[in-house]
Amino acid sequence: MVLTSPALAALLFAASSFCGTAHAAPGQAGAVGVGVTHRLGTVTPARSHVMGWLRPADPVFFGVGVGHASTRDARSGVSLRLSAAIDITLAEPGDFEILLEGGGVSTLGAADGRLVSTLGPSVRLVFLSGGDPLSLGVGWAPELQPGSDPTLDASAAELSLRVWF
Amino acid sequence: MFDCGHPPRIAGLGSLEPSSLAGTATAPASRLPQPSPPLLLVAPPPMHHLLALSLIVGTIGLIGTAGLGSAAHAADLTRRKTGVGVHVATTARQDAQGGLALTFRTKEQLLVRATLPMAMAVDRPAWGGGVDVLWRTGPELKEGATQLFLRYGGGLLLGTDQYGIETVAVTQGVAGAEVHLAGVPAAVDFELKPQLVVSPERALDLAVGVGVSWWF
Repeated sequence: MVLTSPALAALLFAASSFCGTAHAAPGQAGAVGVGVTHRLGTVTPARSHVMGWLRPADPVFFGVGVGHASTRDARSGVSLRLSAAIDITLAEPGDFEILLEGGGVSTLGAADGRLVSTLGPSVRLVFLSGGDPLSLGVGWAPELQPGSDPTLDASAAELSLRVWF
Repeated sequence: MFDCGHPPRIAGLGSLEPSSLAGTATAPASRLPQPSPPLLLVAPPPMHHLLALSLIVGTIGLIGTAGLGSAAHAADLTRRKTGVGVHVATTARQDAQGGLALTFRTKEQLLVRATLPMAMAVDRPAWGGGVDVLWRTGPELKEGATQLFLRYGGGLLLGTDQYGIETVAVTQGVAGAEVHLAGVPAAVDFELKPQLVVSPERALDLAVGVGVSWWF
C-alpha cells in the first residue's frame, strides 16, 4: 500500500499504527478498503452507504460509512453506519477466494427531524477476486429498528462491493 | 416530442387579454376564450426544450474536444482521456438516477463527466442529463497496479418529467473515490453526492452513486 496524500496518509497511518501492520496483502491484516453497501428491506426503503474498511487483525475487520438513514417510517436522512465482522475462507477456486462473513451492523442517523437507529446481524457470502483486490458480498441483514414503535425488518438483502489496499 | 399532447402552459394568460375576458368573470373555465394564435407565437418556448437542446449541444462539443486529445492510448491506464460507462445512484428520498456516463480527462487531473441520457425518478419518472466537473487527486492508494484516486467537485442534473411539462433541476456536490483496476482499463467509482433539488420542488437529498467506466 503506497500513500501519497498527506491527509489520507495521516488517517491511514493512524489506522495502520493501531493495526501494527502495514503493506498488507488485500484482505489480510492491515488492509484498508473502500466500497459501497446497498441494503434492500421489505418494510424499510433501500439504503446505501459509502464505506471505509479496516482489517486490524485476521479475521476481524471494521467498517464505517456515510449514507442514507431510511427506516420504516423515515426517509430523507443521513446516517453513519458502523460494521464489525469476521470471515473464514470456504473455498479457493483458481485465483478466487470465497469467504463466509458474519458480524453486526448498526446505523445511527437523523431523518425527518428525528434520530433514527438500527441494529442487527449480517451474514454474507463474499467473492474475492485474485487479479484485483476487489470483493463482492451478498448476504442477509435483518435489523431491529428501535423507537416508539419497534420494527423488525427480517427479510432483507445486502450487497457490498469493496476494493482492498 | 416533449409535450405528448399536453397544451403548453402560459403564465398570466388572463392578464394578457383583459378586453376579451370582460364580463366573463363568473363563466366556467371551459367557456373562456382560447388564446389567439399571435399570443402563442410570442410565448417563449418551454424551458425544458432549451435545457435539453443545450445539453445535447454541450455533450457533442465535449465529445469532439476529447476526441482531439485522445488519438493515442496512454500506456498508464489512469492517464487515458476518455471513459465510457454507466453511473447509477440512489438517494435518501428513494429516488433513482442513472445512465450512460462519458468522462473526459480534460487537463492533468480535471475530469468532466456527462451523464446522458439519464433516467431520474425525482418524485415521478423523469429523464434528462447531467454534467459534473471533478478534480482528481492521487493516486492516494496503490496495491500493485490497482490505484485509488479521490475526486471532488460539483454538477448539475437537468431534465423533464415524463410528459415534458415540468423541468427537473438538481445541483449536487460530489465527493468520491475512483479505483483503476490492474487487469483491465476499467475504473470503479464510489460517490457521495449531497443534492439540492431546485425543481419541481425544493428539497435536500443525498445520493450514493456507483459507476463503472472503460477508459480509452
